[in-house]
Amino acid sequence: MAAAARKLGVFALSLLLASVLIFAVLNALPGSVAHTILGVDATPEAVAALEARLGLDRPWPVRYVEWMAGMLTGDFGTSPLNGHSVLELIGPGIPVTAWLVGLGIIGSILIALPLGMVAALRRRSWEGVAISAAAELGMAVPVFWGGIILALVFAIELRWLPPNGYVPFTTDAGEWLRHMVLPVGTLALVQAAVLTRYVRSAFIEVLTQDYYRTARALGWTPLRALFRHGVRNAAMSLVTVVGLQLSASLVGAIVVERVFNLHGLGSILIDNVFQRDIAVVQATVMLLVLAVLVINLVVDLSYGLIDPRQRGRR
Amino acid sequence: MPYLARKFLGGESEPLDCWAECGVEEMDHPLKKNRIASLATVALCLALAACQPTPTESGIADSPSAPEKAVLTVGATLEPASMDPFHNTAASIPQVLLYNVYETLVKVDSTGEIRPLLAQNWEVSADRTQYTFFLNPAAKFASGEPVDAAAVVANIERLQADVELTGTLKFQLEVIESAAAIDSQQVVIKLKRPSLMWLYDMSSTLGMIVDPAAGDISNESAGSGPYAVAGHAIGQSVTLAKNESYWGTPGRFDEVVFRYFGDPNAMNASLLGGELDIISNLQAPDALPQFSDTSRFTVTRGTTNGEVVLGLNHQTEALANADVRKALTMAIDRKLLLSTVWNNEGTLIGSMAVPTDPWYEDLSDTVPYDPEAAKALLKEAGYEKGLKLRLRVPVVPYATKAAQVVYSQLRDVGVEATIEELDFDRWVSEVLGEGAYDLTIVAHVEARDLGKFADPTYYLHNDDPTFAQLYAAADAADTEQEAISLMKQACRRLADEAAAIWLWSMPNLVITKAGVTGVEENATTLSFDLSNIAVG
Repeated sequence: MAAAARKLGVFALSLLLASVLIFAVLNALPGSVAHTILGVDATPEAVAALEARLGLDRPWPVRYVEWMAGMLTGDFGTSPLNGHSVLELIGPGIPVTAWLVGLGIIGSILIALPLGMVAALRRRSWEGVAISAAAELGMAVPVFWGGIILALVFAIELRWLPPNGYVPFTTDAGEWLRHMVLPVGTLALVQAAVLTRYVRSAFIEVLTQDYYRTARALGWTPLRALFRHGVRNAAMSLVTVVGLQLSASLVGAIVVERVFNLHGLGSILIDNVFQRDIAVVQATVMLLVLAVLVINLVVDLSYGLIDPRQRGRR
Repeated sequence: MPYLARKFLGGESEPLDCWAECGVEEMDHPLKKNRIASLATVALCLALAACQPTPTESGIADSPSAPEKAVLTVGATLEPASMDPFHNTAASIPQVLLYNVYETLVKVDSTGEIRPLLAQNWEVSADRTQYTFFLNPAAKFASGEPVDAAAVVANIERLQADVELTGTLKFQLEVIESAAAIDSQQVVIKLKRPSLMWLYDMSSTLGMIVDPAAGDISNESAGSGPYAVAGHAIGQSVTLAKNESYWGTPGRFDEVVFRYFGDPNAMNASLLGGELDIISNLQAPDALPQFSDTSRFTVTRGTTNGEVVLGLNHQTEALANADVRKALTMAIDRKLLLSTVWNNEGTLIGSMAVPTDPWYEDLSDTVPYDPEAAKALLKEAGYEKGLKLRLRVPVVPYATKAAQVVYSQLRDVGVEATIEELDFDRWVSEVLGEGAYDLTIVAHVEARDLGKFADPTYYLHNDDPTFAQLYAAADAADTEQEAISLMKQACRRLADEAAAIWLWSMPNLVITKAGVTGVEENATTLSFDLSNIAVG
């Protein structure tokens, strides 16, 4: 399997390049975690002493190799701020972001697919125009504003749902669901607005194709023709877009996380950038890079599943 | 990320043939429409079902076999990174721990007075260098061990031996010569010189008495207070549990949860949504109208130890000149600034003292607002053609907002300030550490911190021997009256010399749910003191 080996090689090389880049950029940041720990009264000597104890004064190639070696053996380091292992700090954020982003994307597909198809089929009548206009409006709404409005209505006025916070699924599934509805809803609505436009244009493309005309000429209803032949063709471009959106929202969900006070990967990243807890930031970014690469790989592989013509080529 | 996606929308194809148009009609088939509608209804029902509280939740509370736990939930914006206040200066650590988990020999009450805590009383020698504390014989740690003289001595010696102690604590500790136990209840602490500040310092982190048997305290607690640290969900909350064997008046709550919010609006929403009992300090006064319903919320207004200082770098050539500093002070309408930036919440001060300090006087009009006089002074100093200064502020709400007002008012007198916003860590290393700035804005949150102005290496580089002498004389004065009177002179000296521009003193804005009582009006210490808080 030469193709698979090549893919794996590209994957590994991307990760390696990303790690060098992450390390270089983060270590070029001004400021130091020693300042965070020692506070505003720290003398330069105290900062230097603490940096020496934390090993931050050693040359960067040494620290890079040490970091890489640690990661390969599953040791992501320890936070100098509180002595917790980096995995302990990032771990609880992974399910939060995974649920938020995963359910958000599924929600947005469930909203955008029917709306986009209707908008394509009826693009010259009022329904189509209304959907396009709503999507346009949805794209203009800032995520945080949408989240605040949803929280205001459903949590503060109606008191149906908690305004923010997170309860792990394993602790209480019912509470988990109650806490996830608003953030997932916010993310799903905002992404659905974007996705609806893609779905619409993808299906309009399908409607112009010969195979669709032939199917219609054979007496198939437009919906049947669309579902039988259209979905698979439109899916090619939609999978690409969903993959991109998924990658972007891994970090992009930070805004939703802030509004709903969820301690996901985005929040962990921002908090630790401000505290200059480089060990945590590096590990989080590496995790996100890994996730994005995996998503890209899955998207890549899914082309073959959707379109048999692609299989031979790769 | 809509903007990312939008880039790809350019190539959208437009309708070309009539097939699609004709096909639309059949979509109107009633059955299909209904199917979509009913699907939507099902989805909505599912969503709503998820919203309703399940019946079992209320059932648990009513059942007599499981008495309801008394839980207090407090909202805050800054989360402590560690539970060890001796190696991390973050004010969020004593907010949770001081007096609630760790106790001190003496504590400062809401009016700024020093009161007994672990020490029932204390005696001061005539030369004010020797303090004898008489410990409360009932006092014991959560572990059951007594808080005796040996434990107090062990704590002071532990700090003295700790090379990694924070700079603030090292500085405060320096005055202590030695500590010795007379018997199990009596401790004598000798000072190198008389000091007004040290007993006050002992009421804060410096004086926290830790169980000598404890090991690493960065994730658990070993104190003698009414509560103990029960858990820290990083990024979310710190939970305190009642110390069942507390030696004094027991805590009123089985559990106290400090919940942390990265976004102040989320914190406000949580209180509005009924998930919080208290907002420990409102970070954005413009959110106050949300809590105007007095049947649901109470707003407690008081003072803190925070002075918002427009720092002037005395190493900048122009700012070494006291006349220029006075001119800049005259140029800024601090009344207008406070109402624009902080909704008029807070107190105008004119020097490095807050209303709860014993030596506080209202000095806010020492150098009054007068832009014409400012221009004249600048002209005299040789800057009639203008003056360019770098205003480098940390990205915190009060500083970035105030910077805008300062910028426009300075421009009115011909001073051109360029605003640079730095994230806090960068601000700490560049402005505070390297002194690379002309003007900056930051709140000094520590209690009784005017001594910083006596240190010419501090980022303000205020090299004023007259002030330094006054401050040293005040700290080492023979009587308290004399000390306070000297401290007043020191404060006036700072104001007269326009050593900095004091914009306002930060208010303490605590919002509580109706029924919550006993919140201290003034934040005189870094502690969020739970001892008088009750839900009734």
